[in-house]
Amino acid sequence: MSQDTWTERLSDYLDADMAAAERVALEAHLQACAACRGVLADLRAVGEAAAVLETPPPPRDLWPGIVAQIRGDGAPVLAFEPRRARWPLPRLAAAALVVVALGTAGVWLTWAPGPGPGAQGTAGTQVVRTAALPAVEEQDYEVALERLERTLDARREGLDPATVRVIDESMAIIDAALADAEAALARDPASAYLNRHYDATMRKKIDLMRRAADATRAVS
Amino acid sequence: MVSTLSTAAEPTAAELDRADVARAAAGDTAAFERIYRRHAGRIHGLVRRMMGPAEADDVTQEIFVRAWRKLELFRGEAAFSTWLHRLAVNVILARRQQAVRHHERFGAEEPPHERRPGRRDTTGLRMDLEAAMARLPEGARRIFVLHDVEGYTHEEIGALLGVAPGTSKSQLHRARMTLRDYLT
Amino acid sequence: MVSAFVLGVALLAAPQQQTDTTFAVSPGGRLDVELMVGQVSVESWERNAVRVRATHPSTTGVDIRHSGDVVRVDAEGRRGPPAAVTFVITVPRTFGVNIEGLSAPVEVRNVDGNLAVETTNGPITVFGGRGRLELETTNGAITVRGARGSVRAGTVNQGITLEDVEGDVQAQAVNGHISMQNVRARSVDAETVNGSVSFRGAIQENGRYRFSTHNGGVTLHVPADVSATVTVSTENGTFDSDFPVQVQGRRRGDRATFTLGTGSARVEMESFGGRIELRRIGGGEHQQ
Repeated sequence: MSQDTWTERLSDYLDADMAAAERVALEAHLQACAACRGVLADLRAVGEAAAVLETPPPPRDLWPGIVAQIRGDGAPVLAFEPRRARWPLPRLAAAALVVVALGTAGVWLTWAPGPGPGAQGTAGTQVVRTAALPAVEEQDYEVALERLERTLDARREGLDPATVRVIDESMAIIDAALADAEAALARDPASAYLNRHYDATMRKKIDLMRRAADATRAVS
Repeated sequence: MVSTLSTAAEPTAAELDRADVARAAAGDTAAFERIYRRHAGRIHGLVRRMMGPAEADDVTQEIFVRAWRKLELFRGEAAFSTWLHRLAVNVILARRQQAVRHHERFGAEEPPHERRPGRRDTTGLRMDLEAAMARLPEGARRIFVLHDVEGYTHEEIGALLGVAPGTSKSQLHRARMTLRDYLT
Repeated sequence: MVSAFVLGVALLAAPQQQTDTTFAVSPGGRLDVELMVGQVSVESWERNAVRVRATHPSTTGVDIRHSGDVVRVDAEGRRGPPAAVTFVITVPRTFGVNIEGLSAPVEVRNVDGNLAVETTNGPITVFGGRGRLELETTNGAITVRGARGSVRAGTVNQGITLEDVEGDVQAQAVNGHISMQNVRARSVDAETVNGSVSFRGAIQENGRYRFSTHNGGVTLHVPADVSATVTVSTENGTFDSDFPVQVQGRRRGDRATFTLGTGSARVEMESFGGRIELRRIGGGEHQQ
């Protein structure tokens, strides 16, 4: 091997990234070659200096800029309180909503009809895609909705008043529709239409909450 | 990278991170500020070394804002600092990819700065190293920072930068040899 | 409203500056526009070039980057309150377009590539085009006229209007009407909560169509020779039809299904509490 070739191998040797046979050969060469020993020592010094490079704090405090983007700029506190629809207990057993995380690409909601008196008609699975917020693996629909609400609550200061009002009014519209559907289901739990309608309306609610969260993200 | 020894009574940085991440994910900006203060120096240093001083503040802010938004996605299987670090590297590389052949700007803001080579400073090896790193060509500097300063493996660097690990190794060696020339 | 207020402040505070730049691009590329407050109009021409005209206060920068066939236009000045920027951008007809805005009405004409628009406040209006349309806003009406590709439109507050559209349709609203006139599609899914859904157009062989609302009415105008299996669902509402349909034994909260022609298409009409009407294009009520 030429001198240059030996030198080229020194980094890998330093990083212990070398097959045994080659290492033995290189070490033999090092014993004989002062120049290579010198280069190796220099490379080692560079590596060691790099490993202990200190990290001084940033020249200026960046937090104000960060918090402004997180919170929006002086936006008032959100008035709306997302209302939760209540699923009657038998219904939860009948159609458990499974929230499955799909990496960072999104959260899939699927539901499969389970055993129980109310489950009819909605055969097969329906899949709705929502944004990746939050990425959870939870069996219980209510819990997933609760987490969405908490996240929204935390972010609500980022929304502007006009958007707040729109979302609030629309949320109320959806909740009223859900209440209608629940009342009807109480009288007629086997109705295929009512079950599907309730699920579709609940999907819209989640979609609205996702939009609200996306709107806070858009503030930057 | 400086490691600290902590006594049993004091919570480690990792423990503090875990607690604050949980709070911040629920919306607690005060908790996120504590996270920022613990990690800002290292992240800013990484950005500065990879991209130069001109955009370092901006990019550091972007990294933390992204981290805030993605906090729910942090599952806690690795250390938070590792997760944050990878997020930072991704942001840095994405910014670099935006560099285009033709770039027009209109308005009151100044045009983007060219990367300025560091000044030569003889007050100590560490200062010299920073200055020398600043003089490296971008590709070599990036790999040197990721491997020798930040501790990524060649496989990881290959995955991040889209190069073969072998390319990463040879670029690293060239970077070290060049730095050796500057420093001796 | 925040946007009007800010626009007012911006106009008072800073003199307006005009930017006008044109540069060559390869065809079939993409335009990305991002802004917080303002207005975006995109139109097309036959040249392989992009022209960006912007009106903005001098305190806000406009950043235009292009590389090969991707053009990115941003309004800057993200620290502090956003100032309004008006963009008028002309692209090659074959270009695709992405627009992201916070409070910004958007209008796009005659772009044949795929179009994606996402805003929080502001109407979205699209004329012509051959690509896939994906239009999302929270507070604003969506209007599409003369499109020849698929349409996916979602809004919360205010309605969706599709006219002379050829391609699959998906339309979602919460507080708004969905109106589809002269729509030729193999599949339609239109759903709102508080508002009516109306459709006039073709029902294709083996197509699938769903029209759903909670509070409002559902009205379909279809050709007399339609072949469809129609399911009508309502809880408190009513159903009326021009076609010779006998709805037998309709139970509350349940569905009633009947067949027209060969029954090849599937049509679902749902309204929890409103009027459901199936009308024949050309009129003529059936004597029941």
